[in-house]
Amino acid sequence: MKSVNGKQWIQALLHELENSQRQEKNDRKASQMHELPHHDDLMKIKDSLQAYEADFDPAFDQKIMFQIRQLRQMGQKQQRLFQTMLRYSMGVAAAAFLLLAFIIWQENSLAIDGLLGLAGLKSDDFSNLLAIY
Amino acid sequence: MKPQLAQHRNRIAGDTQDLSLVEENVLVQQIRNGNDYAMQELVSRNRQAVARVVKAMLGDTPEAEDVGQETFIRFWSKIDTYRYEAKVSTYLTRIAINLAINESRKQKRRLALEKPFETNQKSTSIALSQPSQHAKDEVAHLHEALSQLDEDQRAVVVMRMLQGYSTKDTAHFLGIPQGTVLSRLSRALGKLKIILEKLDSV
Repeated sequence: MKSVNGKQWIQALLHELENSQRQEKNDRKASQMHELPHHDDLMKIKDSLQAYEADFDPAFDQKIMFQIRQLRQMGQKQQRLFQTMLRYSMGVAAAAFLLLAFIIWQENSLAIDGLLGLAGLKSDDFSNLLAIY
Repeated sequence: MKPQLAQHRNRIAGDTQDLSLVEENVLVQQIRNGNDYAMQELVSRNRQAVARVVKAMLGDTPEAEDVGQETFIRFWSKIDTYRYEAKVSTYLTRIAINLAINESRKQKRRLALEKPFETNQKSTSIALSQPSQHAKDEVAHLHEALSQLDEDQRAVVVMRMLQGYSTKDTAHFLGIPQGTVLSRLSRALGKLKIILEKLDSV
C-alpha cells in the first residue's frame, strides 16, 4: 500500500488533489479552498514526514503484557464468580422443587392453600392465629 | 507423573520458541491459543508503526503512550474477530488512528472547559505540542506543525502522507468519503506549508 518513488508519488498526489479541487469548484465550493502547495513545498513536507520516526517507552511491551495478564485474571475471577452463582441458584431451585413436591405429596393437592400450608383452616382459625401473634 | 511433566515442558518450549521468524497469521493463531510470548512478539513488531501514528496525532505525551497501549489491548481483546483480511499493522493503525482522534477531541473539550476564553485553535496547539519553540530538529518542527492542524486534518495527513496509505484506504479507515479526504488534505497541506515556513525561519 505504501508509495515508493518520491517524484511519482508527489505527481500522483498533486494530480489527485487538482482533480479534487476542480470537482469542488464545480460544486461552487472552490472559494473555501486553500491554494495548493507547489511541487517543491510538497516535496519538503513529504521529506519532513518521511524523516519522522517515533517509538514508545522501552518498557512498553512489558506494560501491555502486564495489563493483559490483569485482564485475564479479572476475566477468570468473573467466570469463577458466575459459576459459583450458577451453582447456588441451581441448588436453590432444586430445593424449592423438592419442597414443592413434598407439599404436593403431603397434601395430595395443587391448591394454593395447600401449597401455603393453610389447607383445612377456617376463618376462626385465622382469628385465633392473629390473636396469638 | 513423568509424561505429564514432559508434556508441560514441551508446551513451555513451544510457547517460548523463537517467534521472530513466525509468520503473522501463525502468531495471531498462537495469541488466540493464549500464548503470551506471541502477543509480546506482535507488540514488538508493530509498536513503531503504532507509535508513528499516535505520536504524530497527540505529540510525545503520556496520552500518546496510553493510546498506544489501548490499541494493543483492544486488538488482543477482539482477536477472535480478526479475519486475516488485512495485515495486522493495518488493523492496528486503524484502531490507533480512531483512538487518537477521540483522545484529541477529549483533550480539546477538556481544555475548552479549563480555558473557556482561549480559542480552540490555540487550545489544540497547547494540548499537543511540547515546548519546542527553540527546538531545531525536524521532528520537533513536525510535531509543532501537525499540532496546529485540527484533528480531522491531522488524521488525514498522518494516514495519507506519513503512513502512505492510499486515499481510498484513508477514507475507509476514517469512515469518510474520498472527496472529503482530498479536501482535508488540500487544506492541511496549505496550512502545513505556511507553518513549516514560519518554523524554518525561526
